[in-house]
Amino acid sequence: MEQIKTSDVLYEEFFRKDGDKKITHYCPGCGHGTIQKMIAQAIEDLGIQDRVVFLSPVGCSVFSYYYFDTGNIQCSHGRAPAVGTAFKRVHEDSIVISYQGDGDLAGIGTAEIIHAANRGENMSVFFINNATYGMTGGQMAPTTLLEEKTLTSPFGRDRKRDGAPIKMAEMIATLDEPVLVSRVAVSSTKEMLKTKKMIYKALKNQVDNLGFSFVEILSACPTSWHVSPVEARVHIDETLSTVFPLGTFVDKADTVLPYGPSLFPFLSGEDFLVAIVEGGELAECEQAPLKDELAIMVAGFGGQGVLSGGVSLANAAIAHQLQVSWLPSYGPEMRGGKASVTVVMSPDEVSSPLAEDIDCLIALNSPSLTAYEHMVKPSGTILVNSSLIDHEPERDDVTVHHVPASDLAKEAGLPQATALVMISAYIHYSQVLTIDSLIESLHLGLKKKSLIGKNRELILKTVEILVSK
Amino acid sequence: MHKRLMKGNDAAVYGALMGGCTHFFGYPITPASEIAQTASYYFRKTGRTYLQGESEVSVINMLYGASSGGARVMTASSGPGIALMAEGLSYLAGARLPAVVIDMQRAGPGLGNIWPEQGDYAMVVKGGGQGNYKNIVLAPASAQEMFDFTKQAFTLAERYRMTVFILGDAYLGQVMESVEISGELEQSERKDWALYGDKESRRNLITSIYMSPSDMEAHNELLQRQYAKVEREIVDYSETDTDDASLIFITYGIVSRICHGAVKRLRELGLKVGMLRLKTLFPFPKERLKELARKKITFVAVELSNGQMAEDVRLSVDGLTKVLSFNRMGGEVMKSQDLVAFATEYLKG
Amino acid sequence: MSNQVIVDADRCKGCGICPSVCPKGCLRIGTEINLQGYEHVEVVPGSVCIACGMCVLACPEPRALTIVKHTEEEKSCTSA
Repeated sequence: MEQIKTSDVLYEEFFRKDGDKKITHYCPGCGHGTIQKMIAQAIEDLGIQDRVVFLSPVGCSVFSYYYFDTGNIQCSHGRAPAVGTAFKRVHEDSIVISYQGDGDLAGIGTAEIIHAANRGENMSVFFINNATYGMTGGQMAPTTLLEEKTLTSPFGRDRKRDGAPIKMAEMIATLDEPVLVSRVAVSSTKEMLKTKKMIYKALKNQVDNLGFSFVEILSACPTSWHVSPVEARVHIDETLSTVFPLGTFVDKADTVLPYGPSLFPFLSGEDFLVAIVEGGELAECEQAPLKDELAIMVAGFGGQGVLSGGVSLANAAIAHQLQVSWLPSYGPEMRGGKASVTVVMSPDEVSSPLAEDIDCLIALNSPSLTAYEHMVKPSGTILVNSSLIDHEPERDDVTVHHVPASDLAKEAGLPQATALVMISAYIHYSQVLTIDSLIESLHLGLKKKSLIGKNRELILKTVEILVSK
Repeated sequence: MHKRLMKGNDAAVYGALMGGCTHFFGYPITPASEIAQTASYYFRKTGRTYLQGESEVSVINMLYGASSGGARVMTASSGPGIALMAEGLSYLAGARLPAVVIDMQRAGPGLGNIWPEQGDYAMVVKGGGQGNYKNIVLAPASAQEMFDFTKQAFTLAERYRMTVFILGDAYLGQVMESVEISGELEQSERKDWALYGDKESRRNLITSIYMSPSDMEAHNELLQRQYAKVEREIVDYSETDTDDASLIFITYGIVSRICHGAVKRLRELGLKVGMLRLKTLFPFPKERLKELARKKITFVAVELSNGQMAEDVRLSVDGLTKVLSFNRMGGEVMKSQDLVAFATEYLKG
Repeated sequence: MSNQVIVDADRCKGCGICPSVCPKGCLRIGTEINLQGYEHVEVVPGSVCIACGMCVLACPEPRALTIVKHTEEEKSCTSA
């Protein structure tokens, strides 16, 4: 003796608080119950009950967790594919079922379903298309048929104003990644048997790690359609399926390769630290003899190495056990080719990285000198790139040094090290940091490590020239 | 321990990694894009997950999904993106899922611009989405704190089963400072409420729907008790020269750095000015502010918004003292000398 | 002994789908009203169930219908 019965994957009694514990919350003759029983049976047949996580977004199926004795996540309207994508990335062995209605999947959630499909997420999506917003009482859905009257299309769906019923399966079938895209119906005996098979196949694909399976199921909503349950199922065959043709649009289950393991193993312990801390060690030098904050602005144009020079300066300061901040000019200011950075160094916490007045301006071109010299504190310093600037600063209360930085950099074949030449000069004149620390910090600021040697030579040459002056 | 010169945005990624975050879901937006960029490299390289969503709406729901699975999850964005996440943040709160979200604020409203502002205060500190919920909000003021606070955020998020926000701004993301990558690499423990796709967790349910009003009210009350606990346990702030002050700047984030410079200068001028810097915006240090207010110290709420934090300061002191506002908006940032002038005039005038 | 369709009357909403799919006319909506207030489905007396399972498949309500299927062996045993 054997029994043909509802799968035990559905609870015996439903834990709805205020409702009946033996019947579903669906209206009589609703397609959801039939489909959910089919899904439960497929879960049982595949032996995956413990692995299943059932996603029920907003819509009539929001209470699916009353019924499915599986993991359950209730999701916001339209977003189940995003939720499932992420869950699957956490638990690759789980079986994610995204069960969505037409308002949900074909309306508010079009972006999420299209992109989950396009990423080929290894999940099974069941799209219940009943051409109406059932839960909110029967408003027009993206899949509502033309001329059909609903609560929000009281004169019938007007093609010119409301558009035409959207065909999700066909849309998804245009993407490269899905493994299975099919449209079936819960209508006649024949179609129901096909539906049952397709549900099984969509889940089997996931079990086999094949990727994204999408099954659109035409389903009855006798309440919103204002017909009897039996008439509703006939209506699917006679009308709905003429607008939404049944059939399988994509089936690559026999040809795709299953998902493999990630290219990168999960690192922990020392391996993890080594992986995240790249680029070599910071230099360590004596504490710099600095009592107060010192702000240095390097300003010029793109290609002079302003930002990376600033990084080397800041790293040299860290090597001398100072606190630093490095703040570049930002956003639209940079679009015009201008580049500037302010480095603040301090024996203790830097108060503000937004220096309002600066101790030293390193002007790499004429506009920078003009624009920023007013910011230099009285008795501060201005370093002028004499290769490009042919006029003197207007300030007479500051110390001015001239360095032919562009010429030196060009001679060395490193025009992108113009700022570095000036910074070497700054260190030479100010005596706050050491040239050694600057050299020892080069590897942290330079993207091209092969140029470290040439940069070092340039720094040393700059100092040699300044000493001989 | 490793020390590195790095951007605040990058420091957040290191903080996340050390805080045991395994899943980063990103969507680019200036001025937070470097967080996603750096995460896309280091998360994948270390066998963790970086995934770029199709929108911020999708991203916040990815956090919801991964957090349902018990993972430590995060994203980073800026005001326009955070606004799009509002519904998802509310769902996270309703379902009591831990998550970490960084908001590197830019100027608004609308498209605004990409310069720093603190105009997201109300949206982030008050919740942002539908319903009676709160986020824990941490306000770093340096690249080091971008690391420290982000690392710590994951522990807090799990302890209270809440979203923890890191509320930064455009400058904080762009500034490079030396950052110590310190502490132990944290790991997430198995949670009794999460789903793992196995028998043991099968009957766990992640939801925010409670059809009966009495259940829904009970759930709300549970959340409020949790928020009260957060208020008792983790409120954090720092004070500078408040002992004898007759005027105090109340401030947070990058602005506190500017205030710090101003206080230093004002003390040199012999003026009794101090500052209180909020490290947590929710919970808000109501009690301490009230205590200071009883001493009749004038407060100046200094912020890059139209006075959103000042409202909370006023609520806290409940009329006990005068609360002035010093605001800049639109990406303009006050200078410490502006604050020096303001305080000098107030105290001498 | 023939196959049996067992109706759990209190789980039935009387939608009428199962009678419409039964190839042997074994089911009909009766006149009795169940706990939920639905006129529920009942087995037509004297009908012969072939245990095709279509009613269980089509029915939207979990566990409203169960078919107890007897194998050929069992059938022959009881009839012998």
